Amino acid sequence: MADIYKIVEQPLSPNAVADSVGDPAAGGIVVFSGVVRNEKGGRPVKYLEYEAHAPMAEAKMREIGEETRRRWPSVKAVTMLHRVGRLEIGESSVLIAVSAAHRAEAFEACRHAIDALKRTVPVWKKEHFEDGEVWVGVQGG
Amino acid sequence: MAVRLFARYREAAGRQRLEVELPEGGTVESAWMAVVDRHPELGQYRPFTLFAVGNDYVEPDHRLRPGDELCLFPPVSGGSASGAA
Repeated sequence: MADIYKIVEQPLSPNAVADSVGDPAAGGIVVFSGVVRNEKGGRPVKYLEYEAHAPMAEAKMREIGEETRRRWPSVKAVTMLHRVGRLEIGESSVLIAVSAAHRAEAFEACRHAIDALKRTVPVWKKEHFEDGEVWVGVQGG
Repeated sequence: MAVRLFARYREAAGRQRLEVELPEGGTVESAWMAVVDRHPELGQYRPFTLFAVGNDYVEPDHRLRPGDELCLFPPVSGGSASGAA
């Protein structure tokens, strides 16, 4: 199955994502799920809103996936999904699944992919608190 | 040329897209100044602004071409909670 890099609006499914990277030659599958937390800096969070420049975000995720494959050649498949819109506490905003021949590469490649995503993919998060809302990032948050 | 605003830029300007006049071969920086001319409330965000054309980030000295759409972004904050997560 080809790698998958998509911005989506529906709830994310870790099981479906793990299936999408299955490969007979893969001994390890690692799935990372980024989940909405209930507080930020001690302030209770009500919910989050995510926004993306979708075509560029998908292109950047694809670049990350291709670079991940170059660095860890035993990677068999990569899927990266980022959800946009309103997300409640406990919901997954991002899923990354990587399969590789062995677990060491699967863990390292998946770690690399999420770290790179958070640095370069054009997605923005707005935190909604009881007493206000703020776009994360401008003040270095 | 077309300018597209995201996140706090869109909210501050109250619109998602605008058109600015630019001489041929004008730079991203001059397009930014044309935007701030119309929307001075955006000026304070210049130090935090990322620019993109098509699917690529571009530098302020990048020369724009006819038909380009310039996107203005804040620093990205995708993934889940920022910081330790």
